[in-house]
Amino acid sequence: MIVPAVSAARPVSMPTTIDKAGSSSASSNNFVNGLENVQASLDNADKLAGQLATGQLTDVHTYMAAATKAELAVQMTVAIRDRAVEAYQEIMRMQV
Amino acid sequence: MAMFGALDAATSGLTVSRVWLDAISDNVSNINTVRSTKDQPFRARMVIVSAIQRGEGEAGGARVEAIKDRPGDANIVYDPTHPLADENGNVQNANVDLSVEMTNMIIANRSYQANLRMVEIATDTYRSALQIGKR
Repeated sequence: MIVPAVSAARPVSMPTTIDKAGSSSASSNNFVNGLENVQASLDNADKLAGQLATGQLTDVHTYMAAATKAELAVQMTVAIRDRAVEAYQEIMRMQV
Repeated sequence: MAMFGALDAATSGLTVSRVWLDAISDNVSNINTVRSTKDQPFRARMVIVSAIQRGEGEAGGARVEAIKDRPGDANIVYDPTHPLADENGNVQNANVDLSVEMTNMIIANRSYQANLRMVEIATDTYRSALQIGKR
């Protein structure tokens, strides 16, 4: 009873593991792109802070929203980093 | 970034409310502006708002399309002692209705508050999404 279940699961799981191994550079590219977006939102918040200080920005809320966005983006990056490190450590602890 | 779409839309609403409040403030401050009948009267400023097209990567929201003068007949009053009075003794008062402006002021204020609350809620929501699976 167990054997057919495993063999039924295998065709599904096998291609996905191959895909993941093949696309590891693609997913790290995605991550780098994401980091660039985070950097862009931080830069935007910095730029707006400068404009606000020099009186070029008329809307205070524009800066506050940009700063909130940058903060959230950084928090999201940290969350993803934590998850990745956690998974890596879990694998490193594996007894072979 | 469309990632924080609710924030973008709420910020655009904040900007619209701010511009509206500016216009109302201008109208109220000019309520006693009197002009000669040869000139145009001071007319209340009206903010025309339009929706931003929603779409791929675009969160929508609102933006100020234009700021136009309120149409309508000039408010001509007889005041022969006024320095700006014409030969018939008439001057033009501002084309501003204070009760309308006060009502609009409350609506603009509430609209700004509502959008601010939206920003708050959206931030809380995004932040709580980061708590998924936390141990």
